Amino acid sequence: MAALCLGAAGALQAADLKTLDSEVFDRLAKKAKESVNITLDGGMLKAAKGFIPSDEPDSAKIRKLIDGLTSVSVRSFEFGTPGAYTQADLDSILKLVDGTTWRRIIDFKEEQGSTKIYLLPGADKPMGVFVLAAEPEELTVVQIDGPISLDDLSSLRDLGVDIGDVARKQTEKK
Amino acid sequence: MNLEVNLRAALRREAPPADFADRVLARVKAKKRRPLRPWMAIAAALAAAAIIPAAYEHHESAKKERAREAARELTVALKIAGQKLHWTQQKIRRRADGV
Repeated sequence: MAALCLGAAGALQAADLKTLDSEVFDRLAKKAKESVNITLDGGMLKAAKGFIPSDEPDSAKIRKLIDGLTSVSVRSFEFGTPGAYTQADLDSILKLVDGTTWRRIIDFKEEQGSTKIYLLPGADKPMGVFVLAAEPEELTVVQIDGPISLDDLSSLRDLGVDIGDVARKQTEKK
Repeated sequence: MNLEVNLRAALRREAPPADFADRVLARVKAKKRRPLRPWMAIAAALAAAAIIPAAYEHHESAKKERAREAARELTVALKIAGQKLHWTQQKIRRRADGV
């Protein structure tokens, strides 16, 4: 009975990219040409909401999107050459969601690379989205916790923000 | 034998003088009653008046900078997430269309 309870608690436990920083992501960041490591909790999201520039074309959409979110995490790596990450790395990342209440909705495989998308089921809309996109020279993991519209999210693809600029700033900070 | 006697004499318990406790208390009271000099009070007030607003301003500006940085990071995080979702949708559509 105790084992059953522990199992249920484990299945409900939310994935957390931070738990893999020392095991996987920090090592990959050392191999990467550019890397982005973002973790924003509910407090930071609330604070950030008031500072999204009003001249940002999609500022209203972003403000609406982040309402109710409890965390946003991204780990993204651009390597100069293929083979920087292993299948074992991908397996470690997927352990965060496989066998939990997260449901895989897309498993798209290409000749080189794959994309897996998981959702945390909710009443009206998903209560979270988890993306693992693995390409030969690039690896991206995204986790958003809280009620989220995938249509609104996928419409935010060109915000005029230079990802490389953020990556460079993060590299300089190190 | 003499040594033992001498040691015992040296380590023998002795009661403190009768006014020992009163003298200690009187000293403590005297120290407590020392008044704060006016110039010290003014200097402390001036220092507090100068430091507190500056420290508050520094704290507020650091908080704003952190929030601005969080807004930048949030925008990038959502852009990355949006791109990945959009590209995956496009690839699935293309495959479904046989392109």
